[in-house]
Amino acid sequence: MAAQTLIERLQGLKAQVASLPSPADERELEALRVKYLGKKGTVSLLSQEMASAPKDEKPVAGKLLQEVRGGLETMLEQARVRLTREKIQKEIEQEFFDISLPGSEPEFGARHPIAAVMDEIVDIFTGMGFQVEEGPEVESDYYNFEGLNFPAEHPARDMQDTFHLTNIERLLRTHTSPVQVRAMQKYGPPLSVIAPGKVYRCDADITHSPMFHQIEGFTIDKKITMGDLKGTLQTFIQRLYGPKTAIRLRPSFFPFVEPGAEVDVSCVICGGKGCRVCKHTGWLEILGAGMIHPNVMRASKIDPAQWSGFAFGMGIERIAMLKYGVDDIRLFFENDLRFLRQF
Amino acid sequence: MKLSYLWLNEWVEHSLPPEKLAEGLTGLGLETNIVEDRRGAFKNVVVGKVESVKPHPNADNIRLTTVNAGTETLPIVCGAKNVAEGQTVAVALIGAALPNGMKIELRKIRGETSCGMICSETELGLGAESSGIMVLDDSLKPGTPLAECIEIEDTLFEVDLTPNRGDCLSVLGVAREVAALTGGKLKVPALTPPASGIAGLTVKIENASACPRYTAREISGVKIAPSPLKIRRRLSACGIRPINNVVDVTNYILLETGHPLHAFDRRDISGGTIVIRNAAENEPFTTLDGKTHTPGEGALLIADAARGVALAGIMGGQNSEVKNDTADVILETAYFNPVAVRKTAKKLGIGTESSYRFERGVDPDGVPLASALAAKMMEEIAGGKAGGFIDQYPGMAPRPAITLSTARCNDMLGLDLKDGEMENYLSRLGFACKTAGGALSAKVPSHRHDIKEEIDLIEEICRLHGFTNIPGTLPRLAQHQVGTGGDMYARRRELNRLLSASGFYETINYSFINPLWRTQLEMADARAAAMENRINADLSELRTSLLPGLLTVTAFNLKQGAENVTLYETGTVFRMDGNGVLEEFLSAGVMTCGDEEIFGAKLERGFHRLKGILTKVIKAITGTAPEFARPSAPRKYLYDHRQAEITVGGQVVGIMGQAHPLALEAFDIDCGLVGFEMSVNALVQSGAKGMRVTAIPRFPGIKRDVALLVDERTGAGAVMETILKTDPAKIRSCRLFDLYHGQQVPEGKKSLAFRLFFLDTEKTLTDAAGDAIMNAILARVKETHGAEIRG
Ligand SMILES: [Zn+2]
Repeated sequence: MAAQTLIERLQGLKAQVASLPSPADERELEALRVKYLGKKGTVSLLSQEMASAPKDEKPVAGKLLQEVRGGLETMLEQARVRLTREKIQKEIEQEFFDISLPGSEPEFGARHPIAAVMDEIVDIFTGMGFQVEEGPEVESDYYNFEGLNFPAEHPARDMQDTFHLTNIERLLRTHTSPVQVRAMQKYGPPLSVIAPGKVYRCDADITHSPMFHQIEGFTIDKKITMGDLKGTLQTFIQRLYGPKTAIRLRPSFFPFVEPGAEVDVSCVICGGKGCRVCKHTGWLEILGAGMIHPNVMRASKIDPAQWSGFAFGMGIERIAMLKYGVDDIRLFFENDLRFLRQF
Repeated sequence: MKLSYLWLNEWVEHSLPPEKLAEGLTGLGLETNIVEDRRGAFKNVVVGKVESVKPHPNADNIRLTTVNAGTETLPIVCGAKNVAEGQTVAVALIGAALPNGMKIELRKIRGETSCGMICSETELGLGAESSGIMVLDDSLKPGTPLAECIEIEDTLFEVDLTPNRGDCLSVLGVAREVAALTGGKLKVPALTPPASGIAGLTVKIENASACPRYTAREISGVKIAPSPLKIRRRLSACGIRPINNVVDVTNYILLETGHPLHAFDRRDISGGTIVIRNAAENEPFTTLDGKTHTPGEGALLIADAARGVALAGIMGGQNSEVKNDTADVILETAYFNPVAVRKTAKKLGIGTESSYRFERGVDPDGVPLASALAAKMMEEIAGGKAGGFIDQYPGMAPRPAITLSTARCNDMLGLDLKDGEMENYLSRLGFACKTAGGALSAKVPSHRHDIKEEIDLIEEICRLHGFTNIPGTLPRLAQHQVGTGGDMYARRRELNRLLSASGFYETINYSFINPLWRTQLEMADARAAAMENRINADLSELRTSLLPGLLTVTAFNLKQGAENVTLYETGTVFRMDGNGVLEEFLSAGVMTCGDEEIFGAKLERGFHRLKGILTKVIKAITGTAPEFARPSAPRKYLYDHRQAEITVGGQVVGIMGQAHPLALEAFDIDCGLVGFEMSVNALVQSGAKGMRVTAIPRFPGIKRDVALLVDERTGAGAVMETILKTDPAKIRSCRLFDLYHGQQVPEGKKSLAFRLFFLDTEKTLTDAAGDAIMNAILARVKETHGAEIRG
């Protein structure tokens, strides 16, 4: 049998290499590399023979050798990449990672629920065009009562049991309504004001606190109507409690408004079907409101024949109690961190 | 006010069931709720006749009876002493459920069968107290349902009246509203006017402004006895205890007409005269509850020739009250001035059904009706004979008609009512109306003291039209000049947001504190305002600082087991200025203790941590970094050397520091606390000049670290200042990253390690330039502080 030429052997090797199966693991990969490309590997031995090959065969043999070496190197590199990726993927698939471990929470504090609800309500009204005004918490009888059409020696004053200072003729305001008088005197008409703040009444049980918070709102312009009051409150309530909430106005009495109204909201707990919170009436009493009384305008030198306005006021604690399901008002002022941390 | 449905129906024609009535009245502004509904509640209670009574063989206090209940005769065991043969009684048959919750079943009582119960008034819910079983009129037929014989299946309302509607404080008052609501007719009895004058009695009004009308009616020959069941039941249902027929009549007519009345025993009116006069300065007076008062000169007395016999409009006197042997009565019905009654009632601390109504204004023209109704009733139930009548009515100024612009009414309500509709609403309420050229003139009924001007008529029209029938509209809100009132609110809110985000919980504490808390902190402050606190007498001072309140809640939370307490508050504090004027300031305070954990590392919430947070917060609010310096007047409630005055833009805004151990002891706190309090007003005034950006550097800078050895008592802040001032253009930052005392440094020294950052805005800094800056720094700190580089 005649010995094969170098070219023939290279061609054989090329065919053999082309049909090599891809290595299954790193050991096989290394074995292939050593077998063909190692110092004593097939390709290395053949390239040593190149020196003694006939001159006219050299270009063809050289080209073949390059092809074989290049093909092998490519195949081995692809195998290496594939094996590495398989190895990483396998490790990832098999690892245990405990996503149930508690997250590491940064130390945040919180707003007090009353303050948060107050800001929420103020935002709704400022969004509607009311501007914030604040007034002092210690007031004179004039701003708290007289200027708001509470005559001296009138039973209407019994509605608000008042704290008095002992060393000066002052009282702790019983409502945010004095801001009405102050703002009227400060700006004159027209005006649209929302007044949040602390108020005080001599009363303490699970739904009454001697100190609590109110928001007062009012507007004065030419031809403000009772319908405007209703529409404004309807919009406010729907923004606060959602578009399905309804309001109901009932005649009531507050000396500084007339006609005066108690405003009920369809129960936010049961949706109006009746439950324990709404005493099975389907309605919750949330606000007092009405058209600003002419005497209040006169006291602030505004002509009630030319101007009209509406005013409304609400207690924040009641709204917050309904919102968060708090049934004892004292929780808000105890400031127990176990309570405050829930917000 | 309690209101009986059946009683109301005697005064007005209508066809509304109780539920609809309550709804309708509520819609008119008289908040009405059903509190007791006995309709159909006595289905199995019938009239019975006691046929036999025998003692129980096994028990002394129990009797065995047989009772004819119409269709059958029942054995019934009865515990009442007053049961007797032949009595007509109320029998609860098996299956009956009584108002007190008792269910009647077939029972064996000590071996004897009982097929029902003979009822007492209390068991039937007819009165608060009763002795023994109720004995009925013998004319009633056994087996007749009890509800057909006596007024028992009533519905009781609670009517919540606003202070302006004193006219509704009666059956008649509510009936008028029902008539207006339904258009139904009011049923006012027509009574023949009495003869004028009472033999042997004169009435003299000395103070006509306090007593514009006084009437007296003579009733003779009454026999004092208990009132009939119907009267007693109605009084009890309305919360008034029946006493005797004469007194009950005065109370009954008060509830029915809203007019307080008073009955005097005529024997006790001496000198044949009644004088309505002011009390003398020190004149004592004993009311019929046995209490002696000194009403004083402002108070109005009803007196005879010798002495006071009643406190006008409030309560009668013990000296002239109706007694068991009273035969002749003088019945007073009057109109007293609301303010006069209120002043005296308030001064003496007495509140009665009578004063309550006078304070809210009764109907001066309704006086004769109330008097006549009472006289008639005393004839009917007390066997008296009504005689003459004295009516002193020096009068009240006539009330002019009120004019309403119908256009204005529509403008105000956002409605489009015709003149006729407005007239209709008002006349249903008893106003006499005329309209001409858009002006409606209305004459006000005498019972409506609350109607004074146009707006009051508008409200009446609005009420009758129904608040629910006003369509809602949205106004285009008018803007006044840009208000500044909201600035503080916005700043405070931003501050609260920052403090909350820094790990503090917002608290809201009472504005009134115990003055002891302040003195325990040695906050000697003569500027505190005192107040009268009827809820908690200890909390009698308006706070001048937030710290006492914060300390109190901190102590409370520590006692509840909290390990970390991080609280803040922003709120008003109150101080008197030198002229006795009370000023209000917005203050912010923080109190904190415990450890903070940041990625597993514990960090003490100490002075410097709080100082860092405070610096960040103040910079965010004002755009200016605060400065901290030892206060000129150190606070006693803080450690002498662990306190700093906070200054922003040259203005002192507050104080921070670590609480003094003695202060903590006073509040029973056994861990270290740091905190601050600052004036938000001062903070806002001091800063907020608006910040401007600095350009981002275009050339890289150089970082260098250096550790310096300085004396223990050299302030790190001073060293940093020296470093930064060495070359302010190029030394951009200097941060202390390590502070070390201990074995590695000589005694009395400490090591301060700084990371410095140098930058040139025009070119890249070379290492050589960095070295030059570093050398300048080292020379400067050595010269200024004796600082050596730590080898
Ligand atoms: Zn509900």
